Amino acid sequence: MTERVDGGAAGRPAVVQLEQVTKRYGSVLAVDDLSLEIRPGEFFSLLGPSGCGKSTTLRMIGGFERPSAGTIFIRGRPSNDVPAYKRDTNMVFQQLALFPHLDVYENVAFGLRAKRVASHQIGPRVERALELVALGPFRRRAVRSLSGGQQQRVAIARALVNEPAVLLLDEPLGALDLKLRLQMQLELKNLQRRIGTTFIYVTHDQIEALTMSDRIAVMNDGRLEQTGTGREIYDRPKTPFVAGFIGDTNLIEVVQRAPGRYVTPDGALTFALGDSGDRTTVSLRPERIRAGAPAKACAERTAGRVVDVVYVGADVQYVVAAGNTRLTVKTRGDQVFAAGEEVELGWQPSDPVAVGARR
Amino acid sequence: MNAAGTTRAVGGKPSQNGGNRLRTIALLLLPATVLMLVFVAALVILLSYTLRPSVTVAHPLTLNAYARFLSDPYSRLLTRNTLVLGAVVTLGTLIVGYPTAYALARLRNPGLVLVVSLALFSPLLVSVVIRAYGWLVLFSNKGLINFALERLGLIREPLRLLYTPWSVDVSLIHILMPFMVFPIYSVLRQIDASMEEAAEDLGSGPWQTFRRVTWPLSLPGVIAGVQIVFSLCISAYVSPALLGGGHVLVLAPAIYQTTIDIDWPLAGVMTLALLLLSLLVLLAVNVLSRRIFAHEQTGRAGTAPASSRHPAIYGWLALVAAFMVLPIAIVVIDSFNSVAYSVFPPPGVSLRWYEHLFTAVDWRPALRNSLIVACSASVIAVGAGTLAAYAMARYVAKGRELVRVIFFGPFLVPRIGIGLAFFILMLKLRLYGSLLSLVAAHAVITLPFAAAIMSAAFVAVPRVFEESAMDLGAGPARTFLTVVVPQVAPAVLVSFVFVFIASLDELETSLFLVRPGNQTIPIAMLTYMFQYQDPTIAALASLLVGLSVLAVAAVVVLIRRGRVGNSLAASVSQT
Repeated sequence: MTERVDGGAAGRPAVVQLEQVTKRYGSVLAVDDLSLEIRPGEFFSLLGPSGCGKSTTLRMIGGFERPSAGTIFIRGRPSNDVPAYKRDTNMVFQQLALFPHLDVYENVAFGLRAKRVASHQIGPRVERALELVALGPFRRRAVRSLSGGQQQRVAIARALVNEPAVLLLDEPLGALDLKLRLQMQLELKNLQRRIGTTFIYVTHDQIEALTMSDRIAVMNDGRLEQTGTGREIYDRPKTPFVAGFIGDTNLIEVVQRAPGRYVTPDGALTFALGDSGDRTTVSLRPERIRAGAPAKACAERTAGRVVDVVYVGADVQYVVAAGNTRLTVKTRGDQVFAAGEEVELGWQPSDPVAVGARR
Repeated sequence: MNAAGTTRAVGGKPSQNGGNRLRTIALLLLPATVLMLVFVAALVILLSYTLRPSVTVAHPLTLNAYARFLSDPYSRLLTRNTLVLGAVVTLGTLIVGYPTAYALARLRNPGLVLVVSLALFSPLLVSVVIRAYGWLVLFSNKGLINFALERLGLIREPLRLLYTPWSVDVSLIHILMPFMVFPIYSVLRQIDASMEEAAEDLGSGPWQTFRRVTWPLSLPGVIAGVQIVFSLCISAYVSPALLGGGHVLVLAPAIYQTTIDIDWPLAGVMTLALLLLSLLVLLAVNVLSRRIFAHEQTGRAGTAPASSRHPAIYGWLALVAAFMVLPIAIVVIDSFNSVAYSVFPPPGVSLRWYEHLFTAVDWRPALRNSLIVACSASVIAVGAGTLAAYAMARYVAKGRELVRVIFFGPFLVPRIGIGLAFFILMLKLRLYGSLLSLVAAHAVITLPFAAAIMSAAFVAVPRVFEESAMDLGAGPARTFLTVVVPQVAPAVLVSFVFVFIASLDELETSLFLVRPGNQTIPIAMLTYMFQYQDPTIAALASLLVGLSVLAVAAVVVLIRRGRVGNSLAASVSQT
């Protein structure tokens, strides 16, 4: 599946481009014919469940794995055979990998020394990088004496001090507790806006990807499912997988009855979708479905019976049987309907999205 | 910043990375491979000599030496005695060593653990010759043991303890004890206390818990210990030669004697017999262990081993520590003896043997030789072992087991056999009697230890550190030196000390390689002891014990302060 980048922000050449990249380990296909373009200055996320090939993709961009087929371009240069230490990319590792035998300053200075930067420049550049992550006063501390969040920032400063064309982040917040995680998400996003460096961010957390990214590539089973902004991916998913992975949704199998009119096999639910082939799957978000009185204002309506009620904090979630289909419906506020009650459901014509037949 | 760097790699020949990889592996394995080639060459020459009619006659090839070995009742006696010695000593070290490891693993007080382990393992730092001498003194007619028995009224006449098979057994049990205790101890430490608690919770009593949970889980350590002790025991030379006084007939001393009698073909066959015994036991134990371990059993990190304050634990450890330290302590006491024969208690105190030490024999050439050889051998073995271990840990995936077996070859071949093989090889190369021959032999012998210690260290360093360094722009060599080496610096130090001490104390192989008048310290001591049995040797031994204690203390302090890794790293990263 190839994703063409639509005009918009283009015009500037891609900073990283993957052209039909495939990675095999023996008979296992980790990444399957993946093509991507990442533009300068964008916060780009690779999102998918564990084992979907997102980390492998990042490691190929960083130079730790070699593609079995296809080409990786960095700043327009084919880079498959450029070793990691000669690439214009730097990585923040999931395990951070701060060198335990060096202090904060020396960890950050490591890359500059390795690249034989003149020694009078090293000091100022390290200080600048430490300022960027607000760690100036900690420069002579031992790495293991820092908190998790501080270690995280050292890892970021160490990767940024080399002023890479792209910063690669491999689930860098995975080891942090939830509160710190949310705080670091904001810090990372702010940092990226300030310095304007391209970030490629790997995560399995959809909320994290939606919060931080300019664009997201959703991967599954080594393949690219969809690329787009958070909004596009949430509102206009192109595959059942994307619809189900980003947020909760109802996935309903339908067949075409009349041009543009699709129904469930038992005829209980009908949808206006435009031409989507003979059979397809419909994604309908639980929070888009209105129940009871509000449903009357909707263009599309159906009736059902409440089978189950679940409290989810501020929301109430109902499972409603409409014919043979069970729909999850999410409403704000207190419980209005009891189990067993008949209820009218409704939605706007633009809410159901055809996401194609299941693979 | 790095735009210029990337231009080199445009084009993307698909094999480039693979070619680099192979070159890296080859370079890393090169030094160790050269050492192994020398080792293999020596073995091949030894094998070719077993097919000769006699030392001087090369043709026609004959199985004469094999026929002589198989038909001679004396060789059969040697083989049987060797097997019995190996079995008795292995069983003895197991019976004493298992409870010791068990008790040690249950101690919680770190200070106490350190003291007990030093008592248990410090005999390793003292020359085999000195330890054998200690038992000589203890077992003599007027020695401590006979003195104590007489005082207790158990005997009237002194017992004849020396020059009996069991004096050899006891001294070998003492010498090999650390090799049994250590592997068992390290496995026992990995058994989580919850295992035993679970067993007790399910209603099993202490004995049943031990028999059905602790013992099966500790078997890997027992097996490793049995293999090491048996193979070291059957190739030991000093104890049978010195404490057996010619009455304990086993293969190792016989090989040396046969070589002196210029019957190299027969000595070669005897070596093969010894190697075969060693391999058969290794194999038998392996097959046995595979049947026992249908399931993989591995210890997990972060386990909390059981602890106990039972008085029996302290009592037993004190007893074993005394057993381990006694022969060394008696040597120190004996060095202040005022008479020329060993007697307990000494009739008077004097420093005459220390005077005699510096006037009677000039030890300096031997000391100089030993230091030169130990320094060179440890640099070579640790260097080659470190590089090879790194290659195995990081690059070699498929052939790892094979590579490991090959590099561990020198550990499987009895030392005395390596001596004979190197002796013939060095004669051919016209290097016999040179220090180079000793350096080569010691480097080959100690390579497996250095490689084993370093492998364990490299495996413990997560790969992500190297990736991180490369990501930041450090090439492979710089990554290795500034990121990997600092993290394994303690292991480098430990293997260096280990190899240095092993080389300083090496005797069975060196015996064949030194010329009279150009000896190493242990051989000079042994030669002196065969000629005069006065306490001069005790005075020398006491000085060496003092030096070893200082060296160990220094290493312990350095590692405890954690300075080793940091200082090394700082010096490298400033380049």
